[in-house]
Amino acid sequence: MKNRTFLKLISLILTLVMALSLVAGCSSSGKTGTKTETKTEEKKAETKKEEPKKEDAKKEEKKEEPKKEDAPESKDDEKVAPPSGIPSILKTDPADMYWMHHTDPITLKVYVNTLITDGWQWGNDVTTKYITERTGVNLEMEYAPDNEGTRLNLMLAGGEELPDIFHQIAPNSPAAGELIKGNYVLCAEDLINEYAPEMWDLYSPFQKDYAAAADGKMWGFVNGYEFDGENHYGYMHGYIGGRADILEELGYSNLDIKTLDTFMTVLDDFNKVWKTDYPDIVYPVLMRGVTGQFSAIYGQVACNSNIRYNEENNSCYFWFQSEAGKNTLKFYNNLFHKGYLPEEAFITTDSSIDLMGAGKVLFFIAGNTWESSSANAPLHQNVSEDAYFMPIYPFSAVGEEMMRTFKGVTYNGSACWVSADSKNPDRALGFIEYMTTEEGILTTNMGIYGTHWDVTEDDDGYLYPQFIDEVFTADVKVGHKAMKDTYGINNYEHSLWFFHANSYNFLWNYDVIFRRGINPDNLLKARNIWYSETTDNADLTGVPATFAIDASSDAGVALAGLQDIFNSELAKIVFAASDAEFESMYDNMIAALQAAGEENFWKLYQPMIEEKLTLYKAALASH
Amino acid sequence: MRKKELNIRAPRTVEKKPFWVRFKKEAVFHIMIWFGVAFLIVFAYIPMSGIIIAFKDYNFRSGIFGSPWVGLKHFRQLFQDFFMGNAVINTVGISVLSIGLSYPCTIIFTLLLNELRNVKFKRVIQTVSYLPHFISWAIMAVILNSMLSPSEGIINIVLQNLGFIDKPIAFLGREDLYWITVVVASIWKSLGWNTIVYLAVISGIDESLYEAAKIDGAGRFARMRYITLPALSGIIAIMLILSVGGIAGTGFDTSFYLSNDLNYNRSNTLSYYVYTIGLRRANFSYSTAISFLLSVVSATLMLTANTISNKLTGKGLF
Repeated sequence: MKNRTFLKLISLILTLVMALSLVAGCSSSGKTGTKTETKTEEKKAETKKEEPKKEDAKKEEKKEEPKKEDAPESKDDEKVAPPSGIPSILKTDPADMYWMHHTDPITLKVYVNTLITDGWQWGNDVTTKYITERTGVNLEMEYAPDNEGTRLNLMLAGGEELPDIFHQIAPNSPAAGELIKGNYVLCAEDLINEYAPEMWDLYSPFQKDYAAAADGKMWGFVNGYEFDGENHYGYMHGYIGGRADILEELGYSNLDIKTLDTFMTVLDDFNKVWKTDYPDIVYPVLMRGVTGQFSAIYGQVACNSNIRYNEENNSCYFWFQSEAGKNTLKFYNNLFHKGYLPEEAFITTDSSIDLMGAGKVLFFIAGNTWESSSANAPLHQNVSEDAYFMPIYPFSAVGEEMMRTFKGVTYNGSACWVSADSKNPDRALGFIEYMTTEEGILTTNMGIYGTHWDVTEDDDGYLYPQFIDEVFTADVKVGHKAMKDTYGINNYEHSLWFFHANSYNFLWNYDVIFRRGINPDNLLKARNIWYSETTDNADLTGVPATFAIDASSDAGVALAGLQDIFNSELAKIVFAASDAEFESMYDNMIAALQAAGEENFWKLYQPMIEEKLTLYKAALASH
Repeated sequence: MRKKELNIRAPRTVEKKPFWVRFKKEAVFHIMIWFGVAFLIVFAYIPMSGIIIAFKDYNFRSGIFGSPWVGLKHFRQLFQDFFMGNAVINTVGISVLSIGLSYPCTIIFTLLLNELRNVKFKRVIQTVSYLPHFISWAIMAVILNSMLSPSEGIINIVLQNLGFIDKPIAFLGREDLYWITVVVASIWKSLGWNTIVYLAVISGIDESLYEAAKIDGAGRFARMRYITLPALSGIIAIMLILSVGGIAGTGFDTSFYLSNDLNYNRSNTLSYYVYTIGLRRANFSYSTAISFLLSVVSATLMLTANTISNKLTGKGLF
């Protein structure tokens, strides 16, 4: 009897434990959507009420035009951050900025919509500590559990209290549309006007026009870059990265590869000694997914969109629907037939950086080959200190047509957004303002001025930042992660996130490539080739890459369906067994797209692009 | 004749105790069961109200009840969706292949296990066969990717060295091989574990039946055929009915981890499609519409299978 009672008791306890464990994940996350909404509305009302006052105050401040040396002097003896003392390299930051006047310690929550698994947090290193010291802002980061945006969707759907800042949400993504539509974010343009009008000086004059959402307002702090003829450090990598050490051993330089024929010749030469000299190479060419940027080599305009705009007949098409696009596919197919592009590249779950860092790749084709130079650190450790990737610039710059992003600010990078739930939206803005300054950008990329880097002059007489010796050589010695933890640089966790429409977009890689022992002369030549090509681009052909389609709209749903089709079909076409199969698969894909309502999609899309063209043409004319 | 003489006792009437007395006596069991019931209500029944977003254009800010009604818009969209038919074919195909292959394999493996006389060896085999069940699909995907890799995978190396193939096969990149690859992997993962329920039934078979059959001259195969298998028919029917009911939800894990551009046309199952539309594209209304239809189809399939089973074998869930 006693035994039965004991068993009952145990069962009961176990039941209770089970019941408790079922609700273990339910924490008091706080507010419901309705509450959030009310709060947002209240905040908007407050902002509206205060607007005239603050505008006036700002106007008065503007009238006073505080000079750099006057900046620390403040009316109410507040603690004002002094200027950085960093020599101006590309631009001069405004002398008096909002963030300088608001440096009381505060912790802001940031949700980063990208999977980061190395455990890095803000404040782990000297650089982020320094930024916190300067701005008073400490960040508490939450990273996405995947790269699919599911956490953000659940956060919004679940009515959780939102963080102060959202980051790594592309302005042309469905998520950004939801943030704006649902009033989950405060309008960036309004925030700047209200608190920090001087921040407009940090941006390109095109920023507001090009970063505008569907309602014409700039909601996010968009990471853009501008080719305005003034920037000598804003260069692109091109689309192919190559193992420069192997190329040298084969008797080539990365700059020799200027045509497709040479590219194939190099691969053929490599093939002769592949199994004997380079048995570790699994992927003579590594490509993840089939994208259209590379089609520039066949005379097509390349941009970070699957859609192309034809200015001559004012029509749009998918990149693979032109002759150049089809030729690109044939080129990939040829690489496959020769055994240089293995199917495995589309199957393996290993990341590109892991594959490259393990020494398994000769050429890497991607939308932007920054990734290949990022693989240099693990490559040094796993293969040899002399092994390194370097972009093959001329190859992607050959001919008239290439990455012809039109003159202006691109609108397809990441962006950060100030949440409507933020109790301190002004401090969030101030922090973003700091990170948009030359000081912020250089600090976040290079570390602390004087400790980690200095300013030097290149052969053309342009100033550029350069790491001091210790940091310059540290990467090879201590590795990528250690550099990040020790110096706070080599740090994607924030260095790439807080770029905002400025001329430094690729500065980080620029110096990293130098630091990793690549011939600076080659790099400079390549940069100049790229640079000259990207400035002649007033035909607006890159427009499709600059704006988002609301994913929940009819056009958005239609496009998602079409993308599902061609993403899958293009991959198979690349691996077609014969020319006949290639043609048949290509025709089938075109037919499938038509069956899935392609024509209807273009009807929905055309008015959108026309609207943008009108806006951009007006912006170009006015600036 | 007196009652006493006849030794007939009046039937004892069971005195029904008051409700609270019975409740007190069964309190422990009540507590246990009510947790389960509460769990079902909170996590299964209350969320069902969310189905209404299939008839609305759900947006985060307005929430479930505030979003505008759109009637059958999403259901109409469902029938125009290019990938819907594809997802249905893949789901049904993988399910049928899985049921068709895994049931015979599991039953044969169970019978073989049952026939093992060396208890230690039997235990070892059982343990080894159970182990893959505890490997998550995330890990399994890495193992499969590694084993099936065209360049470094053991399967391709073995097949090539044995002369079965000339050049490596990209198992996970071939549409025509995707179904069979994932079904075989699933069987490997669940074979041992699935035998548990059948072995439990077998252990309940009266030993005297086997002894009688043995005396009548029945061999091992005959005993298996005429005693064990008929005894298993009930559980086989029930498991089959449950499997049929779960067809619509088949293939999420495998699609999630093993889907790629090359096999998408064969790896895109309904459950994965719902995930893609809902959680990745945040089109919750449309994904709910698909899920709603899936639930209806699942329930219909289960009821149909139950009816057929009842008619054919006289056994079913209800």
